[in-house]
Amino acid sequence: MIAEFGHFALILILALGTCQAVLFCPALFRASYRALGPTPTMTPAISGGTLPDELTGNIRTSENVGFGVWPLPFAMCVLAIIAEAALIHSFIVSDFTLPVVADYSHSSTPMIYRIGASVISDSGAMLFWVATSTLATLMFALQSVARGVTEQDRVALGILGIIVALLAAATLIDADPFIRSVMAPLDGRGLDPELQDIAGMARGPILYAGLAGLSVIFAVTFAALPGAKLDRAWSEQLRPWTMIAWTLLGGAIAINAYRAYTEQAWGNWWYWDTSENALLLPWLLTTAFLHCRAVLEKTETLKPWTALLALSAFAAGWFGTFLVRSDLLGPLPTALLSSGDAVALLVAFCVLFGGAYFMFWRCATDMIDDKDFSLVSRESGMFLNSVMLSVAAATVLIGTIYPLFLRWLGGDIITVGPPFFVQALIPIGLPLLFLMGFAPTLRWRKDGAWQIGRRMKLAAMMSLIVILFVWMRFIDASPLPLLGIGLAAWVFTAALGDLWERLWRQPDHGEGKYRNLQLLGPRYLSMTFAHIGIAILIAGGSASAIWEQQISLSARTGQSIQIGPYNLQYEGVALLPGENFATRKATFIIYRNAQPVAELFPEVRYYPIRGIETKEADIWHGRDGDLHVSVGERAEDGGRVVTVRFLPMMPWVWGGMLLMLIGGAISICTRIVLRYKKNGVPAS
Amino acid sequence: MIRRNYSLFAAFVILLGLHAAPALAVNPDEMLSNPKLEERARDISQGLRCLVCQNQSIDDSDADLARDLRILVRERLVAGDTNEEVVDYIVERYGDYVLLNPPLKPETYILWISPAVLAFLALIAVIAFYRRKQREDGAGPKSLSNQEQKRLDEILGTSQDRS
Repeated sequence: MIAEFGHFALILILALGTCQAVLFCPALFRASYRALGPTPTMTPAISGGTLPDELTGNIRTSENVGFGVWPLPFAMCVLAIIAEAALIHSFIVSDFTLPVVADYSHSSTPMIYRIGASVISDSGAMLFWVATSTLATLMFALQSVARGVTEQDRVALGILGIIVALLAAATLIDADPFIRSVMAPLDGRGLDPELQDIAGMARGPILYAGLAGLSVIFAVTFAALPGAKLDRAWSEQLRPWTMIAWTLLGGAIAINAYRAYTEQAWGNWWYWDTSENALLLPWLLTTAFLHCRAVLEKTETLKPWTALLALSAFAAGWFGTFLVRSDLLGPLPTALLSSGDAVALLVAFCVLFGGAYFMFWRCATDMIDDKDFSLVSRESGMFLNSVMLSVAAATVLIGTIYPLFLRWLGGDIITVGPPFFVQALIPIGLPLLFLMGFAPTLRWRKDGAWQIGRRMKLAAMMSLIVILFVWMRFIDASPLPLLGIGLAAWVFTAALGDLWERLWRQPDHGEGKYRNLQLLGPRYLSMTFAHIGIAILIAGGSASAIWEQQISLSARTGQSIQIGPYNLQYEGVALLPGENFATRKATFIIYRNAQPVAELFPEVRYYPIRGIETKEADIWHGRDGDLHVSVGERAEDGGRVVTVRFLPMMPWVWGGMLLMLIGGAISICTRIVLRYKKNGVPAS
Repeated sequence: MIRRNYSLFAAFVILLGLHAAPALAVNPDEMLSNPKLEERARDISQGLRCLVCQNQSIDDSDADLARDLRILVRERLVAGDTNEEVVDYIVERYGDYVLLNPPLKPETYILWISPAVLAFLALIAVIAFYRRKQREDGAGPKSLSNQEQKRLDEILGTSQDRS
């Protein structure tokens, strides 16, 4: 019965989403009519839309409380929680009459993974996306109530209603988690052991939460298109949403990379496969949008481009999810032939973004402004950065869908693997890093090339010194990673130098240097954190590519293995029971200068339910690099197959990712804290 | 409860005994004794796709199919093939799908030139953008923007209706 409640709740979400769309549609139609109407002189008689903002209610006032704005999103959110709870309950009690439970769970699956399976299973993930979208809708409704509801907010809510309704419909049509099977199996097929991992389970929900944030950005931008109302207020309204979406998407990428690093047992952390590109695409475009939004907030320029990025970021997220779900680009050539069960998702994509891009096309010329800024200016730096990021995103998209495209043309099935992406993205990535170094130091509107040169002296010297040092010590280093390290030093020094300049070289207004830090504000700090994070990530990635060492051998108990500055002693393998698996757990003691520093326990797990073996590498994040150890089967000579990798500076990669996330979190948290401090209530 | 756990454990142990483990990538017993040949084998393997994995090379994968391909690569090397001959041999049997780096041929021209074309288009667009800006800068007092013009039209239109 409980599953039926969930099913009913999901259907009600579809109904309420449609209601919300219909309720707020008059606003949408008025706005569209104003934008698309045949002649401007026709509009006043029909819509009254050309009256000044003060009369149409398109102004934020606290009197305009917007009754009726939040109840519908609230109801949808409650229903989504009911549907989620029903699905989780079905997983907890192992209700195998639901095919999704039977496919992703087993009576021996540990409880935490059963709950996790409810959000990562194919239909459960769709339900979760619906749930996060309703939550985002509610949060947006509350935000606009707090700020005073405008006509534009109503349009945005109507669009969010359309998004929720489309997603709920796609879930019901493509992958309904609550359909029961006629013949229930006695037990489930068990969770795919590859997915039985907390980090792996967190990835999906975080991605969908990020997409929900992007959907708000999309809706608010869509609503602002008619009449070209992408002004400072629009930009400010979207600031928290941008930071939340960016941080969540980045978090999903970081988790994905770390999981690949530990699961795949080979120390690689990015494979450029479809699911990874589906994460990367919206992140790249959100990063581009984030910079343009900041420009728009400051100077109200670049409106069409910013709007296009806002629409495209969500489009990329949606399309990526479709690609992954449809399995059109699965690993096997045979999988390429199955169309998958994501047709409704594709149709919904075409409807939503067809409408959005059409509206953009009609309104774009109205948005063009004549604010001038020179080629050398802060605006230009952010603009060029967003252009490069978009080119990178387009390249990733083409590489991802090209095999599909070729197959439609009747060509061979090909693979577009990591070599293509690396070769295609490096020529864009290197100039981007170069720009990233000096762009934050640029002045608004106009700056001089010579001044940049003067400011960047230190960073340029630093990067040259680093390149020379690395090159002298490691003659055989190939030029590309060397350039990567040099540019990382460039960005790092520039970011720190700029921070130093602003903290200590400015007059301190007689209130101490701490006041200077406060004046810089959370946005500057968050930017600095993110840029330094990128620099450290690039340096770590380049260095570990140059200096990586690998040993693969058949080890006997007590044997010691020398790698880099470390000495590993193999202590043998023990056969142990796990929660729902059996494991062969090996023990290694790590020595450095004859001192034991750590113990590592790589495992080979056997999951009898699916009959699958997985390797769990164990990693030690040392001072000078990661030690990545994995074990395999018994070798022919009686020893145990052991693979040890030493990846110098690899912790920098993880630290860099962490710094970027911290940067995002700073911006979100301080905003909340400051707001409460200032007003005592969460208002704008 | 404890008893059940033990029985489950016993079942696992039995299953483990019966179960033939899949090979770990580049097992020591697969490796060639000639280090030069082995290095070439690894170079080649890193460019070949494991057919059942997501964009993993056979050097990276522990799938059975990847192991078979690794052994095949080494057999061809021992037989005296050059690197190109080995790759051709495998492509002949499995198609271009096994190559992680898509080969340059008429079908993939679009793929390979697209990043350059995209970058070029972006460059043109950016240059056009700045030229337009510059032209506007030079032209005396600013004319009304589209937005302002439209707004003006609207206001004028409204007043005409009322009169």
